[in-house]
Amino acid sequence: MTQITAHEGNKSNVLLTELVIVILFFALTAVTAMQMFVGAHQKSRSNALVNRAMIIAQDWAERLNGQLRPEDFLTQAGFAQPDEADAGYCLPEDAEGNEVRAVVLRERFDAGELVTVKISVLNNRRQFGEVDEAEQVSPSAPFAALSSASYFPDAPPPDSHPQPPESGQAQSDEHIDGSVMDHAA
Amino acid sequence: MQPSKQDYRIGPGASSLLMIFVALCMTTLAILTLVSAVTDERMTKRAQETVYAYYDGAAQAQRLLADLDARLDRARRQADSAEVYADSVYALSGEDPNLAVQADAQEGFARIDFSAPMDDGRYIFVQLRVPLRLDGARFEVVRHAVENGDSWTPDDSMNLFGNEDALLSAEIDGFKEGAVVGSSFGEAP
Repeated sequence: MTQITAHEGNKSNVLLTELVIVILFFALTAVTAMQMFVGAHQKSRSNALVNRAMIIAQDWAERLNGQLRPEDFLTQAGFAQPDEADAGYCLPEDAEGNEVRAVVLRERFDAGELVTVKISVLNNRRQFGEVDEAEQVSPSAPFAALSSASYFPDAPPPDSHPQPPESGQAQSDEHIDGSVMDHAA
Repeated sequence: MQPSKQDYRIGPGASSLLMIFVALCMTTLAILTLVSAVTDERMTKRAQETVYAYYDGAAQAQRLLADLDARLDRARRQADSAEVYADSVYALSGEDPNLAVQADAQEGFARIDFSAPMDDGRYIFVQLRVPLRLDGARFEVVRHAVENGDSWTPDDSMNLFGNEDALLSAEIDGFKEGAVVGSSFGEAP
């Protein structure tokens, strides 16, 4: 009788030990899997932010392409005028937290003017660790940054014997807009 | 005699088997999820680099256009007649190897081609039509397209669509002739 009780006791001890080991390994596996799930979720969230920022940046770049006066266009579109000369126009963040900034640069050439608009999209709602910290210099680094450049040649001097205008030739008081978009129109 | 009752109990190894099964499922699911996210991140970065390359190339093309327009304006100011101006325009190709100047199909016009690099063998091709006279607009952009400089060789080792060899061969021949991949706008009227 005592031997049977001792045998059953030994079996219980073995079963208990096995359960403890099983639970331990299950916990280790669960922790590892959770870390992988969290990392995948963060990467997925980061990809969504970057994709959305790229779409917004491309949208504004195409709108500003061919604009002789991008400052006026940005003001009409709701961008806040910069306080300083080197500061950019800023569009307040939308419902998703995307903030658009635009800096207008003008470079004078011998026969025309090159207007470059640098567009950057930031998101102030991103959580810590959503973006690979090795790639971002600072928390305020933009998700997308594009430059849209358009060249506007100066109008040629008036000629004493002007030629009749050809079809498709652009007419302008100040600039002859040689950008592609106007010719496409 | 009554048959003896048998006690059915869960064996000591059942929990281990269950744990192994659950652990394998969780690990597999987690690995697949992470691999999918990493692949999506790689695709996002690739798309981002492509867009950046296009806009950088377009900006460089505009800068090249500004330099070229300055040279055209200088040549027009220095020329006494349209013939002298035309000679100056055709001499631009010798000054800059990136420029290709040739006579346009329409009389009295020259065609200037240049390109700005993008990435992976792609470049932005710009074609101008320059009127060879001393008044009016100096140029007109007739083509602004993304083109691929690398030749594309299709892999025809596998017949993927059944017995369509003839049609596939015709399509391959069409691509081998150097079809331009890209879009163009601002075509000359």
